[in-house]
Amino acid sequence: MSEKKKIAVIDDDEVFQLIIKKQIEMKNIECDILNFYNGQEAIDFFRSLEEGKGNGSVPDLVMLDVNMPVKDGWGFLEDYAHISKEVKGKVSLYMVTSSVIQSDIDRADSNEDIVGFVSKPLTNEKLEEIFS
Amino acid sequence: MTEIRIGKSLLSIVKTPILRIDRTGKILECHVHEDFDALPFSGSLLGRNIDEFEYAPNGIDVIRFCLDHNKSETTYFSIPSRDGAEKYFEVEIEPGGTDEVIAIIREITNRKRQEAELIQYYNLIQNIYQGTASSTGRTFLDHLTHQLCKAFNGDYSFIALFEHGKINTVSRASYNQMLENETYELKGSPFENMPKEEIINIPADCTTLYPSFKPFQDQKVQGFIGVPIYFVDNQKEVAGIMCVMFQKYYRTFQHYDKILRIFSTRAATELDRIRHTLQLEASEEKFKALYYNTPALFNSIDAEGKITEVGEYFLEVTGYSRKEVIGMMASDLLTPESKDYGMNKIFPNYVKTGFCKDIPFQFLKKEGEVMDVLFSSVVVKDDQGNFVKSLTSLQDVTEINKRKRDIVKSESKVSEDAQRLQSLFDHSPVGIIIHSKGVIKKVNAEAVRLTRAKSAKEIVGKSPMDFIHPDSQDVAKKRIRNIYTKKTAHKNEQKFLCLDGTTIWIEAMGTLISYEGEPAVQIAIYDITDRKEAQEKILKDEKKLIQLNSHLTRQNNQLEEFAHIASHNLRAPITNMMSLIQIKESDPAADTDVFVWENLKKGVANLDETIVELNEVVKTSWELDKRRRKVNLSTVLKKILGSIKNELIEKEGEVQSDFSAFDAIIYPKVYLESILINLITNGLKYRNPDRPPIIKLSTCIKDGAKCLQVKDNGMGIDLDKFGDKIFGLRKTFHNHPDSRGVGLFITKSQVESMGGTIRVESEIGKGSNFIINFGEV
Repeated sequence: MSEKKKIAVIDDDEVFQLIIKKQIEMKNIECDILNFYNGQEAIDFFRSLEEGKGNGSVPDLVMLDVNMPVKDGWGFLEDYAHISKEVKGKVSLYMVTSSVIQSDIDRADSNEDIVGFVSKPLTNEKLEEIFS
Repeated sequence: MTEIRIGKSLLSIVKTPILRIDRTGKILECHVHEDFDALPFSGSLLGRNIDEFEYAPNGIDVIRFCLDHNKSETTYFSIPSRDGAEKYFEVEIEPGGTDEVIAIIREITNRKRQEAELIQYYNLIQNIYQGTASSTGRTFLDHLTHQLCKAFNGDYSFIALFEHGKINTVSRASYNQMLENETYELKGSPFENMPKEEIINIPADCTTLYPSFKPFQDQKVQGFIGVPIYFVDNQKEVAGIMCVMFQKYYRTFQHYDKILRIFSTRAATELDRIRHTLQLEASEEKFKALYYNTPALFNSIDAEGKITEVGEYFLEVTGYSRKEVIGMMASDLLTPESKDYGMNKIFPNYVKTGFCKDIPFQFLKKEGEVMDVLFSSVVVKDDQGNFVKSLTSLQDVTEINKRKRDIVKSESKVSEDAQRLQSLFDHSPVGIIIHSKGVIKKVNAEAVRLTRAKSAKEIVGKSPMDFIHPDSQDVAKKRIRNIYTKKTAHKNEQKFLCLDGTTIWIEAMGTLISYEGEPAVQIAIYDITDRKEAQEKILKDEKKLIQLNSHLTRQNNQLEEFAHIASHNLRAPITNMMSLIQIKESDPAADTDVFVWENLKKGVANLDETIVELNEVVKTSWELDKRRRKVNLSTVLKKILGSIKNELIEKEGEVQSDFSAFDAIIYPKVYLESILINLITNGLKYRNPDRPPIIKLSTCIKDGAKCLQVKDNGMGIDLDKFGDKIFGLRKTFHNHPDSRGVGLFITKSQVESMGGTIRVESEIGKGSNFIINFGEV
């Protein structure tokens, strides 16, 4: 991986944020990690990108949790659907959640913006799959 | 061609041709109006001789006669016109001096034609009349059909009666002879649905128009003319038809229908005569049968009352043999009642007068059968005046008496029926009210009872609308209108107002009847209050069931949500711990060790916290004492304020209350405490940093349900964004460290589990207002 990747993790679980950072470090993947603690923070970031106001570039990878305060994963996806293709064109959005409920999986499958649904814990194998 | 100058002459307005002719027939002068074109005159008439006109051959003779006798004469001539018919003229000739005459010519073609028709008409009637005059009855009818054929130049004719959907001919004739009578179907004939008193005139195509009518098909009839026949005593119903048929097209002669009408009356009279004769004959036959079959039973009785002689017919009818009867006491042949009546009432008088006539007795036949007889008897005496015997005759009147009894019975049955109807009316279990022109005329006992009146007098004379509850006035008016207009029975349910002011539900069935010669409405009513109440109860129960069902659905949804969240919230820290273990396993470095341990600790704490929360939900939602008891809101509030005293002081909070609408409520105490503490602490937790929190509690009654409002002046919630999610589990809408999203979920499930509802009004920056409706408490 020569090019430096940019990853956005949207999860209210602080411990998970730390773990994902540690895992990436251990894999010697060079990348920037953006931390968002709920859907509202994340969507605000994407909107600022769309308007060209925000600094930084579009993330290559997004890991989205479902259960979060203020705005949950589904709420984020509703707003994310309105983000222009130019912004989110290269984004790979994964839903990463501790939920193992089939209705959540089905709902994720039918959402165009979601590339994949990953159940926590995020094992090394799953991480590699996402980064490949 | 004008021989005199018209226009300057009075003659210019005279349209009749006038000629001056001399004795030799020479036309000396003439006036012919230019409009007069009937005459075949051409060229100038002046100077011509009338001898030239071959159509008036005797013209010259008439002129001479007129001159010789010095008096006016009239002559006629006719000429063929262009369309082939003759034109007729009348010429009036006046002597105008010694040697010349004035001739005035008038066209009389129309008059002539009418005359001719009248003559034809007269001749037709004359012919028919002459052909039929000498006969009556069937003979007359036969002559009539025959003469009609001849007179009308028709091919067939018949007279027929309509009887039970059939056409039975009474007389049938062709031009030459009489024919056998036949029977046709009325259906498919030209007389089916015959217009009253109308002549049926079909000039052509009869076979095509009536393909199933036999006489038309059989005789290949084209034209038809017929007249209905009415009996004198029934002018409403057509009794039959008299008609003439033509095998070729015929030209209607305007007098045919007159002729038919004239003779149809006569035919009706004859048919009537035949009918009556038949009736008379039939009744005579009956009379004779009765006469011959009525047994006159002759016998003789001696001085002791013993039978000495009997007739054959007596034996035949009574069934006794002569041997048995001779020597019997005559009185023993009577029923005991008749015997008693005869001995005591009749016999003493009979002895005095020597005769009796038509005494009703009951006679015993041999087989024990009772025969009603009329007994007549006369004493036969010898020359010395001594009693020899009684000659008696008995007339069997059993049959006659039976008839009489039947009549009496049916008469009494009618009055019985009337009585039964009256009794039915009086004792009907259904209330009956008869009203006419808006006034009650008659009511029965049940109606009196239903209206809670003391007697019928209280009701009769009132308006039927007085008893109809205002709610049902429209229904009742509509029903009455329907009865009058549609003339059929109408039924409806309505509220009924009794005299004492109570309301009952009744079913009313109205029928149009005639009461004392006026159209009236008879209403049958019965009390359906019980049924109505039962119906209402069922409806109410059903409503309750629906409420219960929706309540259960809500609880079920909550349980599902709870299970969903519980699994997620429990699993989240565990997955973290699994990841940490994997990190530890793959990297034994010391600093990693520290990282893993720190986060494992956090994970365990997180897990513990979640379990404690969930436990709280379970405890408060489903395990508490749900028994309702009387609780005072003020007491509960006081207790809560005591327990959160420190928090209030710390946050400079204030709690105000107004329980003036109601204070006491029948509710589970633990729930009420939990609800209040949740809403109050919520208000404190999400207070507006710009001002000290004030929480106002108040009660009110809304649509009969007890309500509680908890209003704060805090941050408020964006309802457009979070509306329905606000009461969900683990839903927080503030970036607030304390928000865990459990409290409102618990509050909502508690309120709903007791059958109430909770909703929120809120505005960002101003505060929130939670409104609890406790439902039916």
